[in-house]
Amino acid sequence: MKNKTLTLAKILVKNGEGFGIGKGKGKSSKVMLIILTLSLAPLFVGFTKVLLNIYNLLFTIGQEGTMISWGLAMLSLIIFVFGIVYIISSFYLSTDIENLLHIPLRPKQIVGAKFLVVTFYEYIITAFFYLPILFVYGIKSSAGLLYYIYGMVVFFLIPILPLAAASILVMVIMRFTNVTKNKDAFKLVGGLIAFFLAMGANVMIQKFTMNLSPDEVEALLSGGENSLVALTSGIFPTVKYATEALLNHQALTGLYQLLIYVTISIIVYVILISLGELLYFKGVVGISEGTSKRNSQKPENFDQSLRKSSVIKTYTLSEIKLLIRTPIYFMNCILMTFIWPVFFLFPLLTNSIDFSMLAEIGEFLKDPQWAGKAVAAVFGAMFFISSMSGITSTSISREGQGLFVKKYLPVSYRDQITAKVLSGFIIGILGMLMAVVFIGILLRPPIYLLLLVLTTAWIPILLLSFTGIFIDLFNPKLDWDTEQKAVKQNLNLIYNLLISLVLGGITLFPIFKFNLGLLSTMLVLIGITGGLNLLVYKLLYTKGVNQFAKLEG
Amino acid sequence: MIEIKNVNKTYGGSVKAVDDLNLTIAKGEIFGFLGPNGAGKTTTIKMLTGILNPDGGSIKVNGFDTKTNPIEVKKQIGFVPDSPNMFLRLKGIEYINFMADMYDVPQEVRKERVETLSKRFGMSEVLGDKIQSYSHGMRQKIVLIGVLVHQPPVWILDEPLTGLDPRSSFILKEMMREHADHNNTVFFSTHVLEVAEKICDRVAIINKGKILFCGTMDEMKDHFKNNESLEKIFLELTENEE
Repeated sequence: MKNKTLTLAKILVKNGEGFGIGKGKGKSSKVMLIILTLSLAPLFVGFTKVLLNIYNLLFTIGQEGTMISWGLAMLSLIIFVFGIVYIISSFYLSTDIENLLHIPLRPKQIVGAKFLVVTFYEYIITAFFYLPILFVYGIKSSAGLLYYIYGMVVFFLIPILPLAAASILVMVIMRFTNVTKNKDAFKLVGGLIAFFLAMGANVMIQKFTMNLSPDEVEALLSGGENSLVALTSGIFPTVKYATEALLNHQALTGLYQLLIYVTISIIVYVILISLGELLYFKGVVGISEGTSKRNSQKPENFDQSLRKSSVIKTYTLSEIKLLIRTPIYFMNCILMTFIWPVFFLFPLLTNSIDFSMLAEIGEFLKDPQWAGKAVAAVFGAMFFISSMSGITSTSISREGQGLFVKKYLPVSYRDQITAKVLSGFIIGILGMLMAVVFIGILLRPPIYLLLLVLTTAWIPILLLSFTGIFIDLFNPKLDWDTEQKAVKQNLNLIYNLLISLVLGGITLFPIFKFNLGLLSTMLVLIGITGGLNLLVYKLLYTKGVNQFAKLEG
Repeated sequence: MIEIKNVNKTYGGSVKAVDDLNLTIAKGEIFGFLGPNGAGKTTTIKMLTGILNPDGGSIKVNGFDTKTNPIEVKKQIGFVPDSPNMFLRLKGIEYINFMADMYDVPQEVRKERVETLSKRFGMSEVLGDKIQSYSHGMRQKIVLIGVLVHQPPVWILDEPLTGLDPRSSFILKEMMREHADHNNTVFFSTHVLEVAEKICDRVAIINKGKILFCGTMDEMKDHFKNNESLEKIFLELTENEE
């Protein structure tokens, strides 16, 4: 039985191909991987620095070990929250399920294999958060080899309990409810809940870590009954054993705690697959059945639906329709454009930022000296936000195996590219308008400032729409079996983000470096970005169009 | 009219999917393209429709060259792919209207054509539903309607009858005949000999990227001068080579 579970897990990993890097394309993708690693390095270094500070702070009150329990508790929580979404899509909504159900496998073998695969991918997140904690603590406390050996054992066990908890929760929901009747709505609601949970957790963490003095930290630790950490450790008791094992690695208790941790993890896994045996098939069988209501077409609607319009308009609208109707695309492409004001509202609502501060900023903006900087700042933000939406940087990838349809349509590749760029540009503009309204209400800046923003902010949106599709044309990710892979595990989005940082930096650098006035700022913004737009436009409509012709569906 | 001259296609630098292919399909005929799995049928069709670029040779559809005039070629063609799983989140009617816009179908005839076609295939009642909710056969029918709505002179169908119920299958065959009789071209691939025998004016048999035979069914029978079943001839054809 064990063999079948492992074999299946291996096949699933091979078939899923993760982030699609280092496969097939050889050299160029490896170079890209190196660039990506290098660009993530500052984030990693920054995180390590924060950890060093936290360690020093905790050390002054003799509580440095808390860093590990905090880290593990937070990590468990993150894995649990994202695990829910991951488990739903892997256990219930992935297309490979139909191919597995008719094979004479026991439910627990499928559940076991799928669980192992999800765990495998969670190691990426785990490595990013956990390894710095492990090493910062280890180096600062000059721990011995045994500490690192225990540390690696802990590393491999961390995701198991939170993921098992997420899996059991999901399996119970799936077994006893009909929530998947409308698959799309279900995915969307699940995604939104996870999103807001993650954001809430983020705000909480910020509240905990912002400007705490040693006294406050001590107070927090001693009165920690209600804290998130205590709560999380309560839900995930293994955190305690893991922490104790690491802190007491020199003594026998350390080994003892580690053994308890290992045993609990094994038991949890056995419970999971046993429950899987009971629950999984009853929830998953029949999930792929068509469920839409049949409603006969009304004649008046019929006429309206058949109205003729231009190729570009129809093509663009169908792109936008698919973006809105596909939950994963909606979450990652559309929502990303409109969610930014919420990021600001959240801290406001939780009182992390004072409303009086907003009025002060508003006053600042009335000073013409700052007007240029303000426009430049919004301009810079637009660079960032447009690259995050991923509408154009995944627009070819999203076609997937269906790309061939776009190849046989009698529509020139030039027009198709235009329509795809337009879909990203229009959504970007709508997001920008919303942001402007939001800024207008909250900060009450002078009207001319808002007008300046309105007249310039579309330029970076257009630029990033151009660069996005250009990247995606040359490196499309077409071989996917869940939509998630087309947008979430698509590096083109990150490449476009990097490009936005570079180009945004080039544009904003002279403004802040030479402290330019409003007029010169406007000239620089429009001049540089306008020029870049022309350049990328030329490239896209020559090299990009040729590349589209070369793509084979 | 389709003219394929010396067309080659190699995958991954070594696998020859189509090897020096030559075919001419005249107006007014239904042409069956036969061959076992992996013979090069779909590759040929993909090159005809502009999905793949040939490595060499030329393809002309009603006089337009795929290399120099790809858009005109595509306008001549109505293509039914082997997998109908596309645009699943659009409603049936939205998909048809999308295709009608792409192929520039005039407003005046659009409504009538959609009504006639959807009635003929029994799809009128479900046009307002998302394609996602359709069965395999219904998806095939909606793709067919999306193709026929622009009344292309050249039909290219990749395994069109697989998965259709007998009634729809009959209707489609009937429509293929009508279409060819109006001096148009129908080109379709299949690996079922029976189907080809019933409706094709001419057939070609392809294996390992090469045409082994091209002619009428009678010629094919003569060619092998025996009364054994076609299946057997077909097996012989594909096995004797190489």
